[in-house]
Amino acid sequence: MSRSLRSFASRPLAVVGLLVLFLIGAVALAAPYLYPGDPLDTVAQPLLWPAQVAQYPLGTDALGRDVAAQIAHGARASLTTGFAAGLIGVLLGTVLGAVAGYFGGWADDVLSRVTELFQVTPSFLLMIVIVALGSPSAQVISLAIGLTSWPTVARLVRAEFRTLKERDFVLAARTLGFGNARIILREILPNALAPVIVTATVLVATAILMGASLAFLGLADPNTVSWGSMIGDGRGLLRTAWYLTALPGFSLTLTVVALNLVGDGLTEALNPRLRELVA
Amino acid sequence: MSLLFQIAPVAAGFPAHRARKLLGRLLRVSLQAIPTIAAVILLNFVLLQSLPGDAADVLAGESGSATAESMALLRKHLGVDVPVGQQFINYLGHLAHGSLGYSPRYGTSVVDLIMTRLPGTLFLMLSGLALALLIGVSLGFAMAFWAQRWPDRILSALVLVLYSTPAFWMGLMGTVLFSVHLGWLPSGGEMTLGADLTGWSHLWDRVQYVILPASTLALAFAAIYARLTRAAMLEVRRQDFVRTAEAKGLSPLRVMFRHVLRNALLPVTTMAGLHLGHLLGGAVVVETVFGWPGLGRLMIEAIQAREYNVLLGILFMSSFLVILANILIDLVHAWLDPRIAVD
Repeated sequence: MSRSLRSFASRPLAVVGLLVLFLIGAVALAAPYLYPGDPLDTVAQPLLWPAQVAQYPLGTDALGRDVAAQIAHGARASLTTGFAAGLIGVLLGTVLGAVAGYFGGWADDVLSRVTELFQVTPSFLLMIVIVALGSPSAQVISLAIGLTSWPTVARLVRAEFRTLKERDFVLAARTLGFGNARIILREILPNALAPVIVTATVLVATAILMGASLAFLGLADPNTVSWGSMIGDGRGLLRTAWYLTALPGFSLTLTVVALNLVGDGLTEALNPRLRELVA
Repeated sequence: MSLLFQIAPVAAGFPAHRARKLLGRLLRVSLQAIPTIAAVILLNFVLLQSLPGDAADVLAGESGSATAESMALLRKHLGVDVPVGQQFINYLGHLAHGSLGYSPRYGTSVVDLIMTRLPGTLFLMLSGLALALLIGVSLGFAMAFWAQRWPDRILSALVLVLYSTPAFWMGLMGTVLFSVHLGWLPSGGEMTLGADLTGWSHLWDRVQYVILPASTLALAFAAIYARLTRAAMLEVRRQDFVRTAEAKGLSPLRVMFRHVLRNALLPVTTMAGLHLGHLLGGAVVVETVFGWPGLGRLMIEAIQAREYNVLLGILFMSSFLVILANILIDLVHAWLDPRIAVD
């Protein structure tokens, strides 16, 4: 693992991505201290352009709300959704993929049927339906994104488990009388983790984009500010105040670029042959 | 365009035994799709059952007043007064008759409603897909041709940014630049209303309106296809027949175009087929950005109007379309590459 770490550290773009990600994470964590109070409160004259008034470096929106405060608080919402949904997707995909790959048989058949179902059902449409039928709360949105993204992980983990379970060290573990649970968790899983970690970064990046798209369509908690909802709000003033759309979108793009740089770095550091699998 | 060169000689002398093989494959692939279709139907029924309140509650809530008797009558009329098992059988019966329910708000059947909006979405999707393949394969070709040199590095960075940018935001920024500031393209809609154009001017009008939405939809997919084309071409370039082509003195550009690219296109088109569902998802957002009259807009309208029948109908029809498209793509591949049909 330390060799992989050194390999990762020797890639300048990957390190830059990680630094940017830390910075955005720090802003998200510090938002309540940097900008105390509700970011959706009116604080100044509406539609101040960025740098027009020193106190509001990113300007104010149509309701006189501080754009910088909204960006900082929006980072919180967007990152939380992304990481929560990514976590749900990775956990579900790992568990189901491991069971299907390790046991094979009917468990495997069921999984491939379900995976096929998710392959033909447009995932973004399914997300919209789940959020529309449920409620537009942060929990339901993360769950909807996670529920539609796990098959990618499951397919990957299943393939890893199918090859790894035939290896000698697994046979040795079985000869020693280890149970299935122990073999899955302690023997095979650690060896299958590298591609899962890489896929996790892609999953979080996609989840952030999906969460923003849903918020842009109005499928988000109206009392929480997020980058997607800021773009949706700013859209009406695209002709006169395009900075309201440009700033949150830029933050969003920067975050996802950083995540993808980290993902690419991890891909190369953990397994040079993996690149084609993930693309 | 390279695909056409592959099709032409095959189509010229299409032997009967290959037609039979393709027919057999069509049958087999269609049979394989049946469990998936069953799963799609089950998923939609489960979602239908999980609606907040039943349809009678929704209708009564809209009319503003209802008595216990009228509610019971309504439930009987809507068929929600029977056990779940019976409801499922009824649902299957409706599906068998090609019915996805009725939309009180629009005063028409859900299937008709979807059919009026489908062409708009398909036009947008196909334009987007064509553009994505054109841009993606060109970028990938350039990246593979200059692999590991500076044009490859710059294009790789560009592709990463394209891949990471939310499509709807790119569409909005494109509107700011091309329609607000430069005034080159219309900012929304499908065609100039009331202009009554015909022939070439009509076509030109449609092209102007579709450029921004289609590009918005296409860019993220173009990035994926660029990466894929690059990887596939680098893979093919290592093979023996490429060395032979180089050895007989063909120019590097010609080798890359005629020999490497042609053989690298199959994985790209396979991927493009798998992306149809994602393309549809992207279209929903793009339609909202540009006010494009299609299924995506209908979906958002249906949510606002709480017309869940319409919402689920769109989900069902989309899944069904993706299954059909997958079968079609499989057949085209078997036709293009005889090795596939043999397995």
